[in-house]
Amino acid sequence: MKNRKKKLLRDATADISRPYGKNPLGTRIIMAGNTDIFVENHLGIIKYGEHEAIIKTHIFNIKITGRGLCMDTFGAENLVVSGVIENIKFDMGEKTL
Amino acid sequence: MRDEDILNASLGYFDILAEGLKTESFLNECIKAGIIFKRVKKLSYTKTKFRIYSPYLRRLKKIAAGSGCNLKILKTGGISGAFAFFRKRFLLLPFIAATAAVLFYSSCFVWEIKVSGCENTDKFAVMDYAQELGIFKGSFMVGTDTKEISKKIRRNFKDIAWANVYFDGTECNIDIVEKIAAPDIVKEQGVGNVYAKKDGYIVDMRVFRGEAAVSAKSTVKKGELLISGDVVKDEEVIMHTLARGEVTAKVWTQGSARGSVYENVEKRTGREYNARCIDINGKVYFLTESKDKFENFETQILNEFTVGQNMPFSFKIYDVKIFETQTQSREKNIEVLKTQLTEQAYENALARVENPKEITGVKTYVSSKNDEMTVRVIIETTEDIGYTLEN
Repeated sequence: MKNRKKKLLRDATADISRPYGKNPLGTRIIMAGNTDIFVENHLGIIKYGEHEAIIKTHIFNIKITGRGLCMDTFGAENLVVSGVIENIKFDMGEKTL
Repeated sequence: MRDEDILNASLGYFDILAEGLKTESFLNECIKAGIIFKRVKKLSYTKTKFRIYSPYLRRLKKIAAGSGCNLKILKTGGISGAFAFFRKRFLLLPFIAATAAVLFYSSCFVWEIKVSGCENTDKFAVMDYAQELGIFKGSFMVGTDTKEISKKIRRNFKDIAWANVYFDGTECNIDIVEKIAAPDIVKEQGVGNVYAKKDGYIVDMRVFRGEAAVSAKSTVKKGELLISGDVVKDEEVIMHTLARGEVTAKVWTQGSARGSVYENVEKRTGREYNARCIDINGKVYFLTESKDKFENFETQILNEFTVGQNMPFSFKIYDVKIFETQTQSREKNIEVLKTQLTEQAYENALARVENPKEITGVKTYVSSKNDEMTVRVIIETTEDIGYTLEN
């Protein structure tokens, strides 16, 4: 009985502390207007340029197109792409890094 | 910006140009190793520019060597940038330190001396004397007692009333205030003495400056010297000063009044008549002619009529009674006359007194001569009777 209670409590706290809901491999994307995009929990970049950036995540690739794109921050946990963002596309096809 | 970023930025940063194929793969390798990039910008297909903080530089170089990517440091900043700057110019830092030490040491010496406030005193004489006391161009200013030097300068020069020596940077300033000579006293004109402006009997005498020429409890006349401005010692005048003092004396002031003992009064003789007159705009015309005109007379209004009242033109008609009168001489009431004349004489005397301190006594003298009464009042007051010519 005690073990069951402990397990329930552990599951509940684990669910709360998990940042991405029920998907442990989830990616968080935050946009500020059409000038900044914040991507958390990514796997790196596939392609990067002034007009196009393809970011790899666990499930899909994020294809960002725009003008004057620049990565303000690029780290293992998150990245910030700045510039005039015109289009964002989630591509499920490409998986190679 | 996170705290870690602020710390890294202050430690130092590097703007790097990475050159090679597949720079994206290189960047991915780097972030797996824990490197964080800032301001990543792709310049061309093979060139990427980015900024990293100094703790990641060594790891970056290691990964670049393995992946065949060329790195070129474009700019450095922060503390590590300064280290890199001084590592290239290793003589610069000792040179700066040596220069600062030389400047500090040289700032301990006097390089300029300024004397201000000299009009009659010779400026160079003051500078020469200051040199004797140890203040000259190139002298060491640390440990110099400026207060003592100021005192010595003040004592050495008779024309200097006040002196102050102080250092302002490498400059030594000597501020001087010269003595102002007192104005000459012209003894021939009597300026500086206190004289009596009235006759009087000195009650009290206080000499503030100078020497008393008369003693208290003595009688003085107008213009007599009270306090002398000459200070005498051993029968020799040693100094002229502006005498000052307060001389209180009893002063007597006289006032008089005169009046006749007799007065003229008009008395009716008993002759009278009635008359009617008209008053037009203040001018009186008799309507009835009198049988005999009196030389001296007085009138009494019996009736008064106003014609045309509140009209543009109006006049008055009077019924009057005219009495003949005769002038007769009559003796005045002596006591009333005496009181009137005494009051008048007292007022006259009081008007002549200037700034009395106190009225100490009043004396009245009454005399009669040729039908006239004369009253003299003498007021005794205490006053400050001293005056000076310069006032």
